[in-house]
Amino acid sequence: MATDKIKLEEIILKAASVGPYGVTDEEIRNSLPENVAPNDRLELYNSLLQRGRLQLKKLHGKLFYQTVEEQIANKLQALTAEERLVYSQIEGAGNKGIWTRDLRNICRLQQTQLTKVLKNLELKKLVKPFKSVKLKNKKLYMLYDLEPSVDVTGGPWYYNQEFDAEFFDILYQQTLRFIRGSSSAVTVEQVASYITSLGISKEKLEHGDFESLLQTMIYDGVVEKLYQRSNNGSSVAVYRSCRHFSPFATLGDVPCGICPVYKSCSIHGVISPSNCVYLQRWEQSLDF
Amino acid sequence: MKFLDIECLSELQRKLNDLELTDYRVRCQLEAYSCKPAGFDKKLSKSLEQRLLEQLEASPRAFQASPVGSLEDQSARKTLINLICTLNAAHQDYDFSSLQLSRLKRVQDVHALQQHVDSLFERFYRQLGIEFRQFLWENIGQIIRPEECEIYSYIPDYESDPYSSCGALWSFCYFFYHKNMKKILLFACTLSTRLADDSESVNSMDEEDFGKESSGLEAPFAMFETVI
Repeated sequence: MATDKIKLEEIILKAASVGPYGVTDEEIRNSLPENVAPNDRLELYNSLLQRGRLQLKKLHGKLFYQTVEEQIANKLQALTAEERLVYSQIEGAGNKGIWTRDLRNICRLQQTQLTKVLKNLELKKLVKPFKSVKLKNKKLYMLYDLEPSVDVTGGPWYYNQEFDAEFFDILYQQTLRFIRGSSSAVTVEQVASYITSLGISKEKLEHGDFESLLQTMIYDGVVEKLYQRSNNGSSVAVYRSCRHFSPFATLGDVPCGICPVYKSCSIHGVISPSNCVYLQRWEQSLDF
Repeated sequence: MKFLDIECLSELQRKLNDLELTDYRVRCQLEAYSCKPAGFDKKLSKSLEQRLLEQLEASPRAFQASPVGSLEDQSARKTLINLICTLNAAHQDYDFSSLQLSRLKRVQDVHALQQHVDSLFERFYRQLGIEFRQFLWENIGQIIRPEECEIYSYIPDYESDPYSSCGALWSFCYFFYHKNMKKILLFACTLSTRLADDSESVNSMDEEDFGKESSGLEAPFAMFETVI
């Protein structure tokens, strides 16, 4: 009977480890063999919950069960109630992390208490402090295993919580030179392989990083983005260097704007663009 | 940095913080610290020193315009580290270890500083009585002797700062660093509106949601309340 129990528990744990939010009671029931009575199932839940291997969550009144890693469950069992409370708050903050002051207010702990709790959790490698580029000076904590999200680390453009303007500038200039120097429009991959070959950046730059760099160039008006048909028929984004806009491309320079007989002008009328003196004079004044 | 509990400073600070102003709240810090490193400070000081040396090696020209003096000098680095540790000690919820030099300014004129503070504190002096002003400056003079100090001012960055929180109308933050006595006096004050002050921690939650890039997983996760 005992081995059956262990086997059933393992089935439950496996079922509940699917997906990031856990599973409902129904889904677990479906994965268990038919002969398991509801009471037995409840007993199994309770046993797992007590040992901390299973976690119960509520959303919109529905209950969800989620598996907790054995290592973490063991560490959590050894925690005091306060420590567990702090841990669950930090866990809830995900990879955005939570500020110590908010922790203090929510958990209603004194400063010294909280410091002790956090030190203990840190020692047990359950949580870690980290710095966010948006909230530079605040003391933030997140779970030990999580990777901080990009809006917290700033990605490759931030060094030591500050925007690395020099680094960005170098990459910008090199990319611009590459695009201007190439005879045809370039793809993001080509830019990426060129820049990587230069070896400027110590850490690996992702596809998305190059895209945001190119996007900055588009906003600066030095590069434009086009879509080309590639060999296998799909459309591919390519980038090429922009010419400066010629002054006569702006609508405001056309004399029609200040023409006294604008309202009477039409293609086939007596007054028409084809015989307009103002347009002729303006055309002549343009430099090509 | 060890907090030095000096009775007269605490009393001055208490009087200012307890001021009854209809729509405003005063948060003043008049705290003296000893520069002898306490336990966890030693670790931080070492790692900061390490980091500064590395940065110097990487780009020696980066710290040209330094308010604490050229960072190639050990004493300038020590000043910076002491200022950072003071800020950390004064604000338990903050970690100023990535403080940029551009946030600090050297104050040369003590009288100008005094006038600046007096002009901001005028309405407080009216309530606390005229002797308060004298009491304040006399005690500061006795405890830290400003004329023998290097005085620095911290410029808030309006992003993640205890001095530029929501609702703050004005603030100042001065450090009186007496090298020989190995003491730093922190004299800082913020005047904020009472309304904004009460909802401060709510605001800080909003700040964090601001840059929320939905990875699809985060939002539902936050809605789950863990029952057990």
